[in-house]
Amino acid sequence: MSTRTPSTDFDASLYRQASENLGRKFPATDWLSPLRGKALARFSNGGFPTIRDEDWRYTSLKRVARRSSALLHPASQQEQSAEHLISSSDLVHRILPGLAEITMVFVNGMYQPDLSSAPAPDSGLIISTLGALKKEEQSSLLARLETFTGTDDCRVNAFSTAFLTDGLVIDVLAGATVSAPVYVVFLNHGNTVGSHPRILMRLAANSSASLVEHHLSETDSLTSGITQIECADHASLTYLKLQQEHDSAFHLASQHISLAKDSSVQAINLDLGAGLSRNGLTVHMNGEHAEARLHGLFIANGTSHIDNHTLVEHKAPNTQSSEVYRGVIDNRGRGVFNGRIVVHQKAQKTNAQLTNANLLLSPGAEIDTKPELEIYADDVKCSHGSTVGRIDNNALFYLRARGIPEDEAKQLVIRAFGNEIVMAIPIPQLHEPVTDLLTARLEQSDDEPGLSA
Amino acid sequence: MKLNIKDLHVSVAGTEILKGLSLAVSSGEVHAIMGPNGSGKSTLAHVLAGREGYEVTRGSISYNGADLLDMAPEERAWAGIFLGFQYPIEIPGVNNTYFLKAALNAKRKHLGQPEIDAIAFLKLVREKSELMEIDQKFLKRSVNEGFSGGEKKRNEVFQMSVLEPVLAILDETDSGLDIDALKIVANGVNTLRSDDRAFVLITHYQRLLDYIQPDFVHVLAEGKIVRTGDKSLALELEDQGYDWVTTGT
Amino acid sequence: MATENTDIEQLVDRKYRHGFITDIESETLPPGINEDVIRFISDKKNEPEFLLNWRLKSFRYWQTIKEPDWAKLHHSPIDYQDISYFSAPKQATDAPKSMDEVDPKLLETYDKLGIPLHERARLAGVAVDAVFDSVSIATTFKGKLAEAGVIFCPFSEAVQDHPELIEQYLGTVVPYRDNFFAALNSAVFTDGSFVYIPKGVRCPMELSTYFRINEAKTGQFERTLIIAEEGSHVSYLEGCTAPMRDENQLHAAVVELVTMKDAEIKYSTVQNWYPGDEQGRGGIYNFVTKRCDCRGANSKVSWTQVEAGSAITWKYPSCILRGDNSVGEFYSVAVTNNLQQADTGTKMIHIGANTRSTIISKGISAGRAQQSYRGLVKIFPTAENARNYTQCDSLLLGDQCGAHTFPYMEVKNPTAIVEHEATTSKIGEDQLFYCRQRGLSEEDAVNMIVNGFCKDVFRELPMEFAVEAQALLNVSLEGAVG
Repeated sequence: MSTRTPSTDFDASLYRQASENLGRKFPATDWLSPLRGKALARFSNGGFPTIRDEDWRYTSLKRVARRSSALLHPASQQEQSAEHLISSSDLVHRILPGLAEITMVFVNGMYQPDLSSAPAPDSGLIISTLGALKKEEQSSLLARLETFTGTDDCRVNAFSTAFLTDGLVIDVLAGATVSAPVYVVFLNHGNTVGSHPRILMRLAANSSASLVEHHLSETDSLTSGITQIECADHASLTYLKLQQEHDSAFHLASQHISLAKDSSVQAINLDLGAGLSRNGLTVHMNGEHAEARLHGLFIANGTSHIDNHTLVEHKAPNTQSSEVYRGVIDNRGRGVFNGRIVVHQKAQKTNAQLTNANLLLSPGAEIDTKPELEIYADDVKCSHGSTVGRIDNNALFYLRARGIPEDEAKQLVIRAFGNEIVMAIPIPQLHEPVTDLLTARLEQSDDEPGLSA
Repeated sequence: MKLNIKDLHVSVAGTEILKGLSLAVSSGEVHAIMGPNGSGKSTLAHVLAGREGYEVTRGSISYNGADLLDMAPEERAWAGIFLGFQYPIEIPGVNNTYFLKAALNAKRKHLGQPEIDAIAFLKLVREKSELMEIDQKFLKRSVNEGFSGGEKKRNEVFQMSVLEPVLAILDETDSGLDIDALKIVANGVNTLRSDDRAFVLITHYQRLLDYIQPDFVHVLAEGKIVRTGDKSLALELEDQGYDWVTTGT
Repeated sequence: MATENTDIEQLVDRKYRHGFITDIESETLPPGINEDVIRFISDKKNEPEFLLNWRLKSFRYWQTIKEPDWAKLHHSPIDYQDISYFSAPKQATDAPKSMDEVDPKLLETYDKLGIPLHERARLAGVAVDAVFDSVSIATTFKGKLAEAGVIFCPFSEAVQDHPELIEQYLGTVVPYRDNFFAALNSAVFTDGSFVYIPKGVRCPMELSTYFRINEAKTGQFERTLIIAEEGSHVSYLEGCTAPMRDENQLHAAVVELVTMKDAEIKYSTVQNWYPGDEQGRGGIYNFVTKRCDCRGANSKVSWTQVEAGSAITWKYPSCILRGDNSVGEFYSVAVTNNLQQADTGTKMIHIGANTRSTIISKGISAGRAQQSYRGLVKIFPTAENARNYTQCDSLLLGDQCGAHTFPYMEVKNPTAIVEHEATTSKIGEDQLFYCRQRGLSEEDAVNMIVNGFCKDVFRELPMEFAVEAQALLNVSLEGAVG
């Protein structure tokens, strides 16, 4: 689709050096070196995409390109110790309560066993990290990692893979119902850090599990992570991604979920941070009667630039998808939404719906939204809708008539707009803490951009 | 007119709904078919009108000696079969009057008659719409679009009065009507009653039968007619519910 | 009923009715494009120097750029050196002074198309400019229009009689640098229509232009310019047909509209270029740039298009809503069948305060055709209280075709309200059954439902053009009764 347009200020040698250093620095994942090398070659063919690429027309990565080579040299292992983190940072206090049963914490891209709690042996789950894999497991995994980078054209995914240092491999056993969510926390701690985490998850037939992915950072950092999830027949997945990066951080992430026959996913994506964030979610509906329900909420305030691209590929008959994304754009923030639905020719009797609603709150704010339908089958019911508007004056008036001051009334209406997405999270114990995070993020709107932490 | 349904078995998506239904209807008769929800009443109506997705696995339906199951929906319409839909379909952008004229002319063409001229048609429409108390503004709207439930049902009976069928099947035309609308609908049916026309009224409640006197009342349960009687059967049903006729079937 | 409602049937499963060739001697340039060709065209039309220079600038720019590739269209490469850029029927005199001097074969051609140009048979209340290949051959009712102060004439005539208006407005709405096809057109355009409605004048009749491509191996590059001065009003319709030929022919037009304060232009198109045959052989490649600049406050433009023909359609009639309170509308029905491809839509650029736009697009795709709606709604920071409403619906007939929707919304003003809705589905089976139960054949039922689907657009076509629209496209405005 996208044509390759080289960035002007691209210096491949900086990236090569950084990628090659990784093997030496992290011997446990030295087996990833060939993979990193291939991905680097792919990425080096032009570097980051530019706004001349249709998929990136509203999101310039110039700022990322300028900073990325500096952010590529992760600190050595000692500096990333849990002890150091706890004594020097409040990041650990921002880990969500209520998900303690299975918590996997990564700091600056590396797994931290001291901060983590692994699942019980009889939980139906097997979790390991890339750094702890046995040799015989490595080769099959390499194939999985490679399949992905080999078929995906996106240079940002290649970038992430070129600097991959650690990640999680999660297997949900056939027939297992894992009630406790797998909570994965990625912390970028300190100044000038980059992390490129990977999650590989598989749900075997008739299993069900939840994954919560949480990104936090302190200052100037870059996260480029990839999450790959495969659901076998009749599997059921709940997936929440919560992005709360620092206002000066870059966050480039993609998720790739594939659904076999009768499997389903319920995914919620919340963007409550970052200076520049791009999230790409792709759902492949490969099996008949697969079902996807996707929700998203992005708050772009201060000078944040938040971009969400979603793609739902209906490749089998009788598949259903529904998608609701909402955006709140304030101050000098910019929101970008691109929601694409493709119905392949054999995917007859597809049902697909998408809506994207956006609130634009101040004169410097901007939203660019583009829902897309690409339909090659005729017996389908597909629709999409996109709206951009301001706060409903009638609602505002009603609240004021009941004695609520204007500012408060506004906040109430905006919070309600976002909260409907929070309430769609199928993990009830998260409703309250996430609502609080949303409220806190919205309140930052009044601050000067960049000052809020 | 003679409709003869013999041992009809019908499946929908692999589930058998009608399980050996037999019924004979002749000109001049009014049959009421009653039964609990899910007994197969609407299935019978759709099979008679030729809707796709209903698989006849056994039995036969003859209509004036011809095999009704061999006929396309429009051929059945031309042969005088009219189905009043339980949920009349909306067709956006297609003018109600235009639709009716097209339907009437399609039938006339089939019968080798010339198309009705505009003046005669307008006269016919005015006359029938007054009978059904249809507001002229509805005639100018798109087919059933934006009509209330009651208006849709009145529109069905109005169409029936213009198309003058030989066999009219009214599928729960009474449901969702208030008492005034019910009277109007009943009045429309009673006006059309004649020796060369038959009615099959499918209904859940006997209320409609207070206004339209049926010659026969059939109780449909679990895909079969389990009881046939006269008007008094309907009153018994009203009193005692369906359990007493369906128990043991 | 069939008499009233066969339009869509014929659109979807049609035998092209305008595919005949007029056997007429023409003066045709050999294929190829270079500065000499441009000088030839300019010289042939006795153009002032500013125009030749503008053409040459356009040509030089065109040579530096590439065909756009972002549309969802696939075709074999166009060889621009294999197209003739000028073809005109030979006439006894250079420009016929009256209808009597027009070659009877040409008049007969337009008769066959249902657009009589003879005095006696003329369409009442409609002035017609007939463009045949590269030249305008006749314009009716010029005198009557002149009485009202309205100028309606072939573009090349306007260059002679009103060069100051041409110099003032040409290329100000669609600059030659706008895109590849606009640049090509600016270099080689041959004729088209020119309309000028003076201040406060409501044009006393409908204006229309009929474009006919006849000659083989030629492209048609027409240029239309309509200027509506303050408080004026005009309704304009264009129709297009071409013979059936096995080769693809290029049509690259530019239409520029200007509306001043309180002015209104209603621009309707019935596009029925030859679409190619069932195997996708032949047909017109239709690459068109149309734009209206709503310069004055409270001005309004309304684009209505029925796109039925062409092997390839690439067309996005746009509105630049510069004046405060200005209004842009786009109503479109596009029908594609066999191997036709259409990538069409609109752009609504909101610059002024309280500007409003409405987009209604209905796509019908059948056979192995691929159709895309592509639209841009852009709200500038200056466009306080701007409003847009977009509704795009696609209907699919058959499992080999495709329908795609690509709306872009770029909003930079928090007081704006932008709404977009789109649906894609096949004809409702319950609707079909309902119609058939009432006695309509399946075919008639499909026609009726599809017509209903398009009604919101059809009713925007000016009533005066109903007869012609039927003649050109065999499209009736549905629902003659009631």
